[in-house]
Amino acid sequence: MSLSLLIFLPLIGFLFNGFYHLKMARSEQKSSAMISGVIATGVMFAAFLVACTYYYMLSQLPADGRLFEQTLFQWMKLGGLNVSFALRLDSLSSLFVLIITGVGSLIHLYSIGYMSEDETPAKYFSFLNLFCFMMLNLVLGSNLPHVFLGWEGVGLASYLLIGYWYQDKDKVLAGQKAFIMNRIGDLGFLIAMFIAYKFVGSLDLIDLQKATLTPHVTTVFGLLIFFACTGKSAQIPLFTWLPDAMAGPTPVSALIHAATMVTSGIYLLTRLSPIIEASNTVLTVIGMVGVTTAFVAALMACAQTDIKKILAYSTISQLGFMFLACGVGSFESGVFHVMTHAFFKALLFLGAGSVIHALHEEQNIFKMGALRAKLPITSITFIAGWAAILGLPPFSGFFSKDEILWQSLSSPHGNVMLFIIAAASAFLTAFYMTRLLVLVFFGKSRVDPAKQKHIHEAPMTMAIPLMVLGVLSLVGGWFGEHHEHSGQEMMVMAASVILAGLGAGIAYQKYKNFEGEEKTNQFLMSGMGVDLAYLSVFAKGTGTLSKWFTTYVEEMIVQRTLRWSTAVVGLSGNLFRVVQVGSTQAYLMMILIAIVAIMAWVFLGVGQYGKL
Amino acid sequence: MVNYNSLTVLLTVPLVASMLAWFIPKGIQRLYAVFSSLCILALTLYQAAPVLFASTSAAVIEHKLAWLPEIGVSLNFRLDSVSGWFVALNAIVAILAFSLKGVWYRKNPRLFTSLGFFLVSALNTAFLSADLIVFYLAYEAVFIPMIFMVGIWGEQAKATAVFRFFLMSFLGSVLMLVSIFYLVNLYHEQSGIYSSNLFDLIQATAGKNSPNLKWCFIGFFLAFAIKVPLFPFHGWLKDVYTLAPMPATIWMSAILSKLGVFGFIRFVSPIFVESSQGYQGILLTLAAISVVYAAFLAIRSNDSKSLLAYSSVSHLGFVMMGVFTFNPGGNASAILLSVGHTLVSAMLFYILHLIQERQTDLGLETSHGFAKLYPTLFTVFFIAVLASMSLPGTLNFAGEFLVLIHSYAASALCTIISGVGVILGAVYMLKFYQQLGFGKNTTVTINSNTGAKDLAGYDLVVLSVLVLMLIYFGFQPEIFLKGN
Repeated sequence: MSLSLLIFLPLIGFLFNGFYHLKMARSEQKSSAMISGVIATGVMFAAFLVACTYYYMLSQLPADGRLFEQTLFQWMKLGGLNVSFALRLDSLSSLFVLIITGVGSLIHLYSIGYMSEDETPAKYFSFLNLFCFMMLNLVLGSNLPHVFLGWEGVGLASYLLIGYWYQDKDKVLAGQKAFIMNRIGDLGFLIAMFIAYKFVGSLDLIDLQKATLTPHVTTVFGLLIFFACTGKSAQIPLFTWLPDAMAGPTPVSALIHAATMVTSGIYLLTRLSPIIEASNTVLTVIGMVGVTTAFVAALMACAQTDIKKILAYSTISQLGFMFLACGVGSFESGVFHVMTHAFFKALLFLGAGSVIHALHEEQNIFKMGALRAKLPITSITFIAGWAAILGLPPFSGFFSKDEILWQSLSSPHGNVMLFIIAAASAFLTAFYMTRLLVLVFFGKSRVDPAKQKHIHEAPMTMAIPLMVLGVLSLVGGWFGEHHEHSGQEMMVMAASVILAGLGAGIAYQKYKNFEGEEKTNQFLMSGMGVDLAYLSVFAKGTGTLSKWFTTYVEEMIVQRTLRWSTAVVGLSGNLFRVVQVGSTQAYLMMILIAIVAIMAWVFLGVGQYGKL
Repeated sequence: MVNYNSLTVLLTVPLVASMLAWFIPKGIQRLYAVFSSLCILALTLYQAAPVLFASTSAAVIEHKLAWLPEIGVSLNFRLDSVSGWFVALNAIVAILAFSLKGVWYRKNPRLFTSLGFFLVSALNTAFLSADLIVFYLAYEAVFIPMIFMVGIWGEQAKATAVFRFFLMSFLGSVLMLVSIFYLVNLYHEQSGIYSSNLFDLIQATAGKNSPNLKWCFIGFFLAFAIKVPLFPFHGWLKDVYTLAPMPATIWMSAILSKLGVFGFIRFVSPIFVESSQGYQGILLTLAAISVVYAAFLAIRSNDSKSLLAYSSVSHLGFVMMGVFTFNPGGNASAILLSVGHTLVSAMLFYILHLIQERQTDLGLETSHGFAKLYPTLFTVFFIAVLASMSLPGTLNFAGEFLVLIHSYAASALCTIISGVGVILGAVYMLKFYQQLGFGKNTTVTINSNTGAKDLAGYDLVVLSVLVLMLIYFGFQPEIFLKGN
């Protein structure tokens, strides 16, 4: 067995489904969701088994030597730069690989049911496999360019899947927005690589971890890497693409925009933690941005009416928690939250998908209600996810979120302010999630009567992943490393559970018998106008700049100069009109004349050497 | 005198093909042209194999014939790691350009084929010549077929466009010619011998830095900067690219532009060491501005061909960033990116032509939704778009990444400015692809001549080979870099 199986299995699935899709599309036939889905799920499950084996083999190694490495080939070698295409598995990447292949397999399986009515399921599954291939490259790559390959590759897959239904222009534009905002972050990644090469002379991750850089370089490098992370992981300032990304099929939102891709930023920061930690400025910025994002996005989530948008803002907010953990130097608790969040947020998204599926593409939570009886599996598993994200003991979120709250207060880089904002965000989380839960599954039904009759529970392919993730959301927190809790930590724990209970209680009281539609705060609903501001500043700005360049610089200066100089020579057109008329012989003559003229001119010139 | 086992076959065989075209029936001109250019590619690879597939960049094939010894002009051909890939690309581009069906195979097809092969021969002469006078002659000769192609098979309003193109190019090359004369004279003053050999001239200018040499540098710079083109010398480009028939556009963007890149690496940087270093800041700035400025113009373009034209300029700006590092690593990266740019820009224009054959309306103001009609064609198109955006895993990424990592050492600021082009590149290329491929196909105006078939047959083979090349060399660029 070799490490490369981990990336080649999804690659095979991608190629198979890609060619299968093309073959069917060429003959205008519909590809089979069953064939393509089984292949795609099969390769992912096989990769998951490989990942489990490696996880076990890794745990058998001595603690300080837990590393597998496989060099596939040399990629770019020039001068002092030597970039190889090598996979490296250690405990950090092993955890990510388990999440990607494990949660990934479940979501592939779920998709077989969810996409069964779709026109081009083979295309969908090929993109999904492509995503997993790229994501695995991201976490297994042994050097920054290799990570960057995965980094941009997952962005590509995300673009393709958000705009999957490409006949809808809005969905395409949502994909485009995601891609371009990610590319803005990627520029930070690129420049960070240039800096690393200039000052370290290597882009290998192990070399970088060991490198000692001047404080100034460390800070600049760390900030650039973090800027790249704000793009991929949807943090302030580059977060506005994620709510729009909900245009994609719901399983995609679960896999890419909740469980895996958006956590790449945490992976990268943790991977480079020796450099990140070395600069207090960088840590402070990460912590501040993380906690602000956590709070602001939670506020925005409270004002959404679309079930997927609520979960999208919730994801941004939870990612903020993870960055907060990194910012206070507690990378391991950030990574722990990546794992529990992957379970419960994937579950919540898939549950939402099941609801949307049952209600025939209805996404407004004020047109749902009392679905508990009709969707028993969905509602029970959804409640498990709800309990986990609230951080109710003993569900998974309890362990990871409390660890972050505790670290934000007690770590050397933490402080009371970070803790208070984070706790307030936890309170808001409880509020908006309970609001969602109550409005969808409890209270009175506000479902469109026409759709009422057709409500049905999800098929088995969709129900199984829900149940597995439900169990994981319950027990996932026990996988973390446990330590003795001090009295102070117990206080924090108690406070956060009380806050969650309070938030949940308020929301329950407010929404249990809610009727009609809520008039939500437009400012919060639209993401505090950040999106609009970006649109008018950057999108319009780019348009205006290109307009100015075209009209003022290009037309008025460059082209006009050219036109004048043409006119000055005074031959404009006349000579060359000859070219267009006439026969073949005339053209031939002209070629001959031109050659002779140039030759003569040159050799006459050569004869004049001495006089020059 | 003629030694068939020498580099001269790379000039003579295309020339023979050019003449032979007149004796081939009009109906099979395309077949003849494609087949002959395939043969030329095979011949090129065979001839150049010792250099192209060598493990180091030191391998050289040289061939010297005395031509006009009394004035020091010799036929001195040199195939090394700088010129080798350009010669190979020349043959590949010829295959692509000849493959397109169009008015050029209906109206005067013999002339078209003949001009095309004449162009191939002239380009090979320019790439291979280590003698500056011979280089200059070939450099000028390249114009002739170009002008005729635009004039005869181009769109309307061509006279002015052709004239501007001619004027700009001619202006530059006249100054270069004067500079060459000065250099020859300089060498004569030192050694008493007339020679226009590159290495003699390098020797003549070594360690010198006179004002006259600076003027010579500017002469060379203008000639090549116009050819590439580099901001602000790109004014001629948009009209010529858009009005030219598609094969000529492919030739210009894919290979003629490389004549400028090649000129800088081959002649300017070794002959004018001092001036190159002295003006490096300005040169890098111009390259960075080219990248960003052309990207903005591309965003503004509502016409597919001019969008691709400006995108080509933008990407050539990256190539020039590598050239202007004036170090072996940067130059090797620039050659690598040149290969990527040649393949991708030829491919994109090729695909554009295939779409034009199928659909008449390609305006970018509305979305057309053609991807649903031509799934294979648009899959290949998308891969070309990704390569053009330098997505990691493609040849263009390897080139651009290596170029920028080297230019960062020369100028961090210029590199960061040009980095903005990476973002803008995604903006206009996605817009381009989405407007043609995505949305609902409500504006279908199927071209009745060719019907609405998906990519198949010969075109499918050609484009698949290109896709495989872009991805394979994206992971294995070693053959172009040779550990420089």
